[in-house]
Amino acid sequence: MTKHLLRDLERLKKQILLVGSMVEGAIMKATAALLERRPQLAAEVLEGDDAIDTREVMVEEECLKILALHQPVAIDLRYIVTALKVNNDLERMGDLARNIAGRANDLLKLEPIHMPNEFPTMVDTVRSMVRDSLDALVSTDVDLARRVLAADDTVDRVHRHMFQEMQAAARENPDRIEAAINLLSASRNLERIADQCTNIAEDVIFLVEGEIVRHQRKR
Amino acid sequence: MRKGRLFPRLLWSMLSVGILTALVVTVRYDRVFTGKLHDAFERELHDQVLMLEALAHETLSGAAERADLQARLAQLGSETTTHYTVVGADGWVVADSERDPTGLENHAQRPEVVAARAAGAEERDRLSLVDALGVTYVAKAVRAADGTVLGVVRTSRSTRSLDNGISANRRQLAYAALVAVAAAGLLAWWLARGVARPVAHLQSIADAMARGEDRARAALVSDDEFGALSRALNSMADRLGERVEEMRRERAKMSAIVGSMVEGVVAVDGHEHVLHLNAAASDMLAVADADVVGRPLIEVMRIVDICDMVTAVLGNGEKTSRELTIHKGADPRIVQLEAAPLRDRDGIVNGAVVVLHDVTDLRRLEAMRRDFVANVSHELKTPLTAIKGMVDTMVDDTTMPADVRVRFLGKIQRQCDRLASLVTDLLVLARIESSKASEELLPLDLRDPVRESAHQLAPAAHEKHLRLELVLPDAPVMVNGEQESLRQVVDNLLGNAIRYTPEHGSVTVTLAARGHDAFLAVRDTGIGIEAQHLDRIFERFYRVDKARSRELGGTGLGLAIVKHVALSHGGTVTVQSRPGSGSAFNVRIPLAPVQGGQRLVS
Repeated sequence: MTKHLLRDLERLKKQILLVGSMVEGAIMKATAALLERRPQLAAEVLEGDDAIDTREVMVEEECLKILALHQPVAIDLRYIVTALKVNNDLERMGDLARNIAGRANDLLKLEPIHMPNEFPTMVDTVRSMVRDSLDALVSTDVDLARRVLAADDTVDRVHRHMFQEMQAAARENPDRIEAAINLLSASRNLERIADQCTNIAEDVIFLVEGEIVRHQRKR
Repeated sequence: MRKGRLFPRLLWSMLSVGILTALVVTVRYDRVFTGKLHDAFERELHDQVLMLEALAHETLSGAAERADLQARLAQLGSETTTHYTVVGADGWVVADSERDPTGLENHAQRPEVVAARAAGAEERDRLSLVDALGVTYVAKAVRAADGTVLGVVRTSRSTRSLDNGISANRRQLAYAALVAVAAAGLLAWWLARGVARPVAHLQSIADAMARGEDRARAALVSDDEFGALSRALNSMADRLGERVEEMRRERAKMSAIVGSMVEGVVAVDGHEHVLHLNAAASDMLAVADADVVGRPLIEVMRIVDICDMVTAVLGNGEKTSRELTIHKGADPRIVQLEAAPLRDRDGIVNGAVVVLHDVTDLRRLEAMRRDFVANVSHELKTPLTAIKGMVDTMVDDTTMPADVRVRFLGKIQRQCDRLASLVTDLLVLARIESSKASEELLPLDLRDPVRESAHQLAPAAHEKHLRLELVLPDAPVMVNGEQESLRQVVDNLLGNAIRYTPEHGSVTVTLAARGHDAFLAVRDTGIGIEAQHLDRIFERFYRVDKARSRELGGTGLGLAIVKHVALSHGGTVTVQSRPGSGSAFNVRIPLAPVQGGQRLVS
């Protein structure tokens, strides 16, 4: 009985990491497509999203199967619940990556717009947040998860600044308004990916400490 | 095996043999001795009955007095433990060693008497022996010469003394048997220990060896089988130790080889858990953790394509290869992957090994070469097409007005100039690349090519209302170089600066000697270059903006030439630029070596 549960949990872990890896790859490619104007990468992201959705459904089925078959308790139960939530977050992140790839495609059709200097930094921060949140999940590292929570503030700040910059750019150059909106939309999607990373980090903290840290910050 | 079973087993088997032997001997001896005691007892009674017969014969035949016999018997009875009786032919007691014969009943019907009488004449010596009530009776008929029975003599004795003798004997026997068994026990204990102890010792040594204590050696020194076994065990341990050491060395060698390979190597077992991951692989895949062995592959590196490849190889056991772009770390890497199954002795797939070959640089070079060929063809074809078009028009249109013809010829001339400069640049590049640079280098003053170049390009700068500034040191800046190439460098940098700086800007050329190097800097206040182009502007035909460059008359080879010349002079070229605020190109070329300890500066 326990042996079966262990084996199923192992498989679940592998599957959720597969989804995580695919999402991580999609985000890397989508942001590269955006920064380096590479249409091929954007196309790969748009193609890959269906595969992410399929895997997401598989993970959910696996979770439900384990819940029904083994009726786990304590840490095992928390693990399944975490897996369900992380799975959901990851799927959402995949959609956001697809959105960014779409914006990158739109920007490619337009004249290159000047990107504020913070934007590449923001991309780097989000990339490392994605990587760190998954690493925290793999190694159930609470400290790393808390660092992900801390990094979110930087991303929020840059995004607000991007908003002002794009507003100014649009006002200055009304014919470039389309490009400005697309870049701002990409920035918004990045900011939401960062939010999803903090969700994953919170799930990791819940998994390890059993404490729900959501809605506790900044109060 | 449970500990110490051999010793009790040996002990008990030897002890039970001892006990059994003691038991058999004791019982047998008891039988024989008891029989002998009985025989002696009876023989004594017989002897006495024969004696009594001789004694009683006279009296019974009437030759002697009864009283004499009675007296004799009484005396005999008091001296021995035997009871003597003489019975007359009629059955009445004639004499008795213990009681007065007159008071005794008739003995005619006593079984021993009846038996003695019945023995008959032929059996004169026949004795009757009857056991009754713990007393043994022996009787004999006393016969006259003619065979008639004169009477019966009888001896009897209580068997209690016999029983006492037998039981005393048995006690002795039991005591002896106990002593024998105790001695056997001690002996068995000693013998069993002698066998069990070496076995236990050998077992503990073998266990220690199995646990990996390679210093464990059996310490038995004897000529018997145990000694031989312990020597065999020791030599086996020696051989095993050598083999283990050999394997350890082999393993260290292998891991050193695999570890220092440029190719990444990842080995996994049948459950996709990492068996080995060398340094190159962890570098390529941006694996942060040092301790990855035994962990699932997906956990270690999170690259779905590689995991899918491994799963496929484990499933179908076929080699696969593919190329993959890995977006980890700062730059994406293009990696060529080869996955092959690992098989056990029976040919069943029980793992996989993935070899990663970083082909990023190779692919970049390939792309550069492809671009170069495409670019050269394109660059050559564009002016040719224009020339051909205009020439064709002029040939067809015989009535072309003179002014149009002149304009056309002017255009053809410009395109020819472009072709010529392109071919010249290509030749310069080819020459720089193929020349054994240092052979043709001669000492020269770097200020000369700078001055020449500035002089030549001053009109162009003047035309755009640019401020052209030369900052040259007073002393000559001597380098080993080729005048023509170095002038080309200054020409190209200065030409670019003038070309890409809007009107009323400024261009500054600075030459300085610091330490062992000469530094040439060309700064402008032009349009600048965006960061993502900076890495590539020294590539041939790389243009930030193709249309603009061609419009301004560039060949796309200028900076490539600058870079090659700098390299062939043992120097370097770098660029700093920000879009909108201008660019700065810095060329560093080593100063000429000193003659007689003095630099050729003054």
